[in-house]
Amino acid sequence: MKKTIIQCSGNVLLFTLMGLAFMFPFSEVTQMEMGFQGSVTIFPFLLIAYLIVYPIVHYHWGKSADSELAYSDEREKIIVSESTKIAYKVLIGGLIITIAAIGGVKFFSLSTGMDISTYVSSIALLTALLDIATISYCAKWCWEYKK
Amino acid sequence: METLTNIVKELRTQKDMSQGKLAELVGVTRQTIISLEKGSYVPSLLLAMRISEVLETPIEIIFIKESVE
Repeated sequence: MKKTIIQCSGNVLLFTLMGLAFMFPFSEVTQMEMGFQGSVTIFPFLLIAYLIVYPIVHYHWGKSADSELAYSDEREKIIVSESTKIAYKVLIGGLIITIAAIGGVKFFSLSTGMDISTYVSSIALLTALLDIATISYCAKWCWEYKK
Repeated sequence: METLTNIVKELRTQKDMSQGKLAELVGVTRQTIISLEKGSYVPSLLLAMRISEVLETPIEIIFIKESVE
């Protein structure tokens, strides 16, 4: 159970860093005649550092390439299948809601004249969705395992 | 609704066997044995047969089908 919690926490951190790195890659962006000028924020560097460190820690800690989808026996196989089902439902349902929400953001932005970035909103929503799906998987896995 | 109860715990303690040892002999995790003894997990036929072999008791004695209202 500890292994699944750590792996899921690692994934949540990865998705969050990815989201932040894509939402806020640069600060103080100035549009130039050709391209743009801006300074890179800390998030892309954190993401790169994490992508380097995580596989090393994972390998040394887990002593294997097992993912959170791995199972040791027939009962764990059922638990993984039940948890995956929940995560799938959250993902599909969440994607439908996300598409509607992105449409809503665009419509709201156009009708009120407010400058709301559809790009940032989309990345934020997708990041939140990936995190929620992972947390759902982990919660279901732990709940079933404790039975 | 029908469910499956078992006397794995009784037979295991009679044989002075730990949950970990039984788990090792039948090739599952200790948590699966705990769950099985609590009655919250219904094993596959293959696992039930392995338990039957290890506990040297016929499968129909270990696992009993019961009706729950």
